[in-house]
Amino acid sequence: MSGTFSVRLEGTLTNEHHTEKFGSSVNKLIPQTGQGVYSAIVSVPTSPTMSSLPTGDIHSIGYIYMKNLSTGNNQTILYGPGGAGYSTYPYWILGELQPSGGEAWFKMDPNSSGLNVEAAYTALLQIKMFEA
Amino acid sequence: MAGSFSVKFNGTITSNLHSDSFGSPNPVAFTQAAQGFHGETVIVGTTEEIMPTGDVNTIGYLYLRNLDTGNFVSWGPTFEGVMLPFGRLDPTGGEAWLRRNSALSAELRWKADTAPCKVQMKLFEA
Repeated sequence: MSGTFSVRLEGTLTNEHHTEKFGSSVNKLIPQTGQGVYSAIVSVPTSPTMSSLPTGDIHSIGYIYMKNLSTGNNQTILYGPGGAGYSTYPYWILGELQPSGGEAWFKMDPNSSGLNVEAAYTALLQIKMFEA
Repeated sequence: MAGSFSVKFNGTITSNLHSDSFGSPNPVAFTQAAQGFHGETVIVGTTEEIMPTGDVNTIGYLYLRNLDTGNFVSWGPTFEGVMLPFGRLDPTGGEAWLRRNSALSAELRWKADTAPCKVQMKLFEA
């Protein structure tokens, strides 16, 4: 039976003379067709060895939430498209999660090649993966 | 002069017999090393386009939201001259929030599925 996401992202950037807001002040409801969830805290290996993120029994990956739980300045986590064909450094690197709570939230495209991660120094990654 | 981000993200998923939550109870703070920002509502076409970056030099955080009510937008890095599908913005507010790797990542591209879509984008200097 399908489920429902209730998501709220609210952000502010403040500079000396400029402020910018983004996201929403209300929760957004998103339907989930499947019912699968994969939730884990994983240890991300150091570069140059990238690893594919585990997906548990998720059949078709939908939304992904990631958060860097490590706090060291050198524990940034890098991530990007998976698959052997895109493993040439640095082309596979798309984003990064800064230490001490760096987050990412997006929906994977069904035609994507998966997700790889690596870190300059072993880091802990919280991941929640939801069935599309 | 450095700026500061304050981001609060909360989510829950509720199914018939299962629920889960994610995010942070309190806002997470990050610094912005240099001032820079590019924000616009882009009409993304059905042919691949390069995501604009304006005058942002070192790409940092990116926020996307699909304002179209009937069509999705695929996005991803450029690989060998074409888009490698990675993410999808669902219609009616589908969002993405991530920090780009400022030094290494390839440019991003996007493409609407069957008809052009308006997408709100906010790109911040790292």
